Amino acid sequence: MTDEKISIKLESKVSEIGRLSEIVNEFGQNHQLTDDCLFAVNLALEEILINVIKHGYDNNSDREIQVRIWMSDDELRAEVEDDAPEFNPLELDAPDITKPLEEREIGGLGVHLVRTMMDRAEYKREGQKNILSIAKKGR
Amino acid sequence: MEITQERFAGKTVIHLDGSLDIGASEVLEKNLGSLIDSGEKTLIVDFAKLIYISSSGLRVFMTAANRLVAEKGSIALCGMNDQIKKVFEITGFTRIFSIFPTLADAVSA
Repeated sequence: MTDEKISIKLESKVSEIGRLSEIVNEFGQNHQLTDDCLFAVNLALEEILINVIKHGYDNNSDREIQVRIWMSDDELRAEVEDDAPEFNPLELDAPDITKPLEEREIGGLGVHLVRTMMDRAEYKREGQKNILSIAKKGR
Repeated sequence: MEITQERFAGKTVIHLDGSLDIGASEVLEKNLGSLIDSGEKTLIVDFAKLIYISSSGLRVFMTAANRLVAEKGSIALCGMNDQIKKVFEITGFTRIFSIFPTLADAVSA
């Protein structure tokens, strides 16, 4: 069953991440989603938004990011849409997680978490927009 | 997220309560940075009331650990819930941090 789709318009600043998380958690309660699902989806959305804000929009805070969340059967789905230059973060190399502390790089960990914690993550370019879609079994 | 600090069995313990998202990470980074600046060499961070962490939170611990190792100090983490533990496992951070089940384990290590 697919029911309502929630659409949230965010400003391109990191303070919006907390607001989005509250909306996702309320959506999760209304749909009886597990804590594991909500943790993972909040994490994935934070990582994706930070990438868009810092890299896509180069920290410009007057741009827009559109997030949509909905249920498809027992799966929570979300899309993050921005109009930054074309960029598919899912193509980034996986970080070497076996390196010792002093050689570790923090870059790439966020995307690695998205790829690992989501059941699916897909990128597409539509017109002038980047659209990153994620899905996670919710209950 | 709330950050509180105490001396426990002669060691400095930082308790985290809430969500360590990017906003909270900036505050924690300053907090740990000033502790290390002031000469603190052994830190224990208690995750018992922490419910969320993202890669920005991981970065804070990596930065602190790098500074402490350079000064022959150490940082220990304890009390993680299963979801946060999984984030540490996925990123290989369980290999580079000393992680204890409880605060008592971390203090007595």
